[in-house]
Amino acid sequence: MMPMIGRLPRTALLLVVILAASGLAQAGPAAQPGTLTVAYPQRVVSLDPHGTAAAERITIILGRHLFDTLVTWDPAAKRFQPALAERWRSVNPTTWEFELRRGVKFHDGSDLTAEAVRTTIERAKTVRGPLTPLFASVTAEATDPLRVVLRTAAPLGTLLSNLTMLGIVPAATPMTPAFGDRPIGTGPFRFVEMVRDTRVVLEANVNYWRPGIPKVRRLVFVDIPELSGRVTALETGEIDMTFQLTPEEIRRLRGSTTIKIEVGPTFYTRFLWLNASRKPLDDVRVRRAIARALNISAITSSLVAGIAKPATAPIGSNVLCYAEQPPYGYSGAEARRMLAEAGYARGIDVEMKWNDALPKEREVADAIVGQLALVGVRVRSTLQPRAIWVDDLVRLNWDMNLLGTGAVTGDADYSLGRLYHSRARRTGYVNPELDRLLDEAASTVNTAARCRLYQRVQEILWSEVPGVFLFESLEVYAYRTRVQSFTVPTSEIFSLSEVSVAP
Amino acid sequence: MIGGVVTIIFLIVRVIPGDPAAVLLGTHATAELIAEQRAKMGLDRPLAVQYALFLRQVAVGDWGRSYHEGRPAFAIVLERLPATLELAAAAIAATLVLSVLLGSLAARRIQSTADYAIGVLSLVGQAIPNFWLGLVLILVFARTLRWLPSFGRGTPWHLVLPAVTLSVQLIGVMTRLIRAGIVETAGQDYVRTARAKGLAEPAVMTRHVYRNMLIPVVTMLGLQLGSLVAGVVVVETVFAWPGLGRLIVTAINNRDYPVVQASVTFVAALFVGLNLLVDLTYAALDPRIRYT
Repeated sequence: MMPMIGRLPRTALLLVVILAASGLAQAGPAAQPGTLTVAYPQRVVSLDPHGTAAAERITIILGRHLFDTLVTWDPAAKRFQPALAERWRSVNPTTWEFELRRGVKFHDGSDLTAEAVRTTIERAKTVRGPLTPLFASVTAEATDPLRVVLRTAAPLGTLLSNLTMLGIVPAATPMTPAFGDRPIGTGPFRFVEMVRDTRVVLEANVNYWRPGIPKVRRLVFVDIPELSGRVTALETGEIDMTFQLTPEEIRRLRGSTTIKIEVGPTFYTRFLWLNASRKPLDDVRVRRAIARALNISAITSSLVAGIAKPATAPIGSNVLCYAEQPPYGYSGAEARRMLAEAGYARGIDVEMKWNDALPKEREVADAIVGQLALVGVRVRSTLQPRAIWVDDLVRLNWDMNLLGTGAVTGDADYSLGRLYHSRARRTGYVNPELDRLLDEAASTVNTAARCRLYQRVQEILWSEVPGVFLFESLEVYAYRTRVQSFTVPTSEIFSLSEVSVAP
Repeated sequence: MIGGVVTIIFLIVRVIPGDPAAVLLGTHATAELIAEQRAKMGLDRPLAVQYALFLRQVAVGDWGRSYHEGRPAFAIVLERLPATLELAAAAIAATLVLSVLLGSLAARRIQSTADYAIGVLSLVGQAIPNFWLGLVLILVFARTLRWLPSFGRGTPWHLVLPAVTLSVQLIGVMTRLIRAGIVETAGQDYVRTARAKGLAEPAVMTRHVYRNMLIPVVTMLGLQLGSLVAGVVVVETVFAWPGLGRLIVTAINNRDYPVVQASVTFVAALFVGLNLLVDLTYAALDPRIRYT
């Protein structure tokens, strides 16, 4: 016999028991006092508020904590509120004067000055990111240390909305993306470290200009790519908060006594674009037939229940200048009749391209294919990797495209002007009247007048169907009960500045 | 060989569809900005020119800068290496210990219940998809029992679940191989002779049985390194482990050409290096093998 081998399994068993016992002793990681740990579903590429990732949701959320903007939008009061700018006025339709808050310091100790604002505007234009088009026509002049004048080439109705996106950086900030690795702002939290694909750590800015804020000492954003991993970490207490859950996880966590679930609105709309520059979708009757063939509320009450509601306009209902539109009116019979009227009694064949970045997009795509098949619209559904999908999207290389977008500035112009003006070449739909309305709205400074123009734009988009507007996304926040005073934001961009954690 | 890999990778990343500039700027950017970005990346130049420039850079050890992070691609790869090496080393160690243990046990009681049980377990281990196993382990050991952390890297406890997940398939393969090796070697004349001359059992096992069956084991381990790389990619995502596997997947998804080129070439070099090490180990294991 072989006594040595005989002993081995027993030793191994002992080892396993010791390992398990000491594992029990540590019994999961304890939450740190004063530290709030949040898991995010999206990779942080850069923290540069003006760089290529500037419109990415996670970059905007982190930016909310690191930077301040000149003004902020108050959705409850429906007006802009002072932030780094205490006062502002429109000198004439192309000139705006901002008076800066006195005594505000950047995290590096330098003062907030008009020169910093000038650098910021220049940087947004120079670094070349998604914000660049918003500030392309803006020039800044520091008239005195705390007074800055912004001039626009033509009247720019969206200037204040756009400024709510522009994190102000110090005057000496270089015009290179490396700033995103060690960002400096005036925000409630200062940057500590960023380990890509692992975590971003921020700590309280004790000299923050708003008294009593922030309420936690440390804010840690950890990267957990898998949804099930995020939810497990929340249940075990390894993290305090996460977001973007699926209906299944919401149902499961609802029963928990240690976890709270809250649902809030977003600026995000999901839609099915129809390429009006291709046959047979160039015929408005075909596009309208597709809109009527989709039973949207059936999808929102099942597949995306709790994370979306039927869209009532091309933009989200809490976006500035939203105008409610009547439902498309789901009717398979009507859709078939409209197709026949357009000369497609035998149905049509189209391809739908999509990418699975949005929650439950796969299920939504399948539902659309199934529903359209019932009226004779035979859809070839093509799931594309993001790199190919974005490339095809911007090249207009598709018949139908399933996607979504957020009006990141909270202003109708961000979605409507950016996507549906014919010069944007996004949907294949061209309508000179729409272009005229969008141009006029963009150069109208009076908000009420702008909204009247955007209302007409929304009516045209709704009836001409360059896309079927499907849902308005809802955001689901799940957090442990030790997280206190979290208020659900009016958009998907949340702030944890006023949140505290119980020990 | 590495030169070939460099060229193939250069071509593959450019042949697969998808525009790095469009991915970088996302859906919020205008077509003009994307075109401008493409030019900035040098992707508007003819492929031959891009290749020549790439070779010139590589010749001086410059792998370019990541499109997304803006930092040197090779530095990013090196930064991620320790996490993956740690994971791979733990998985290989667990594999060796457990498969030698289980293989020996099965070989010792051949055709016993233990042997059959180990045989079935090895087959199951080989067949279990590691992303599924990872999630199940998280559910059991992190969520239900609360013994181990569910994600990330830090303490040795963080290493347990990812290393186990990564090693289970390997253990399945190696256990069967070791069992077969021991059974075959233990029946050889020289083993009988060793016992006949009165050598103690542990000495028979270590000096004559294990040493002689190690060559196929080491060969298999070398070959399995390839599947280990594939496993690392999955396991690092499931456990939010910040290693090379996740870096490669993200870089491919983002069409971050410099990072894909640097990391895949590096992994290829590592693979070649480790297999060279395997070849050198043969000489150490079997005195008849000499490299002159």
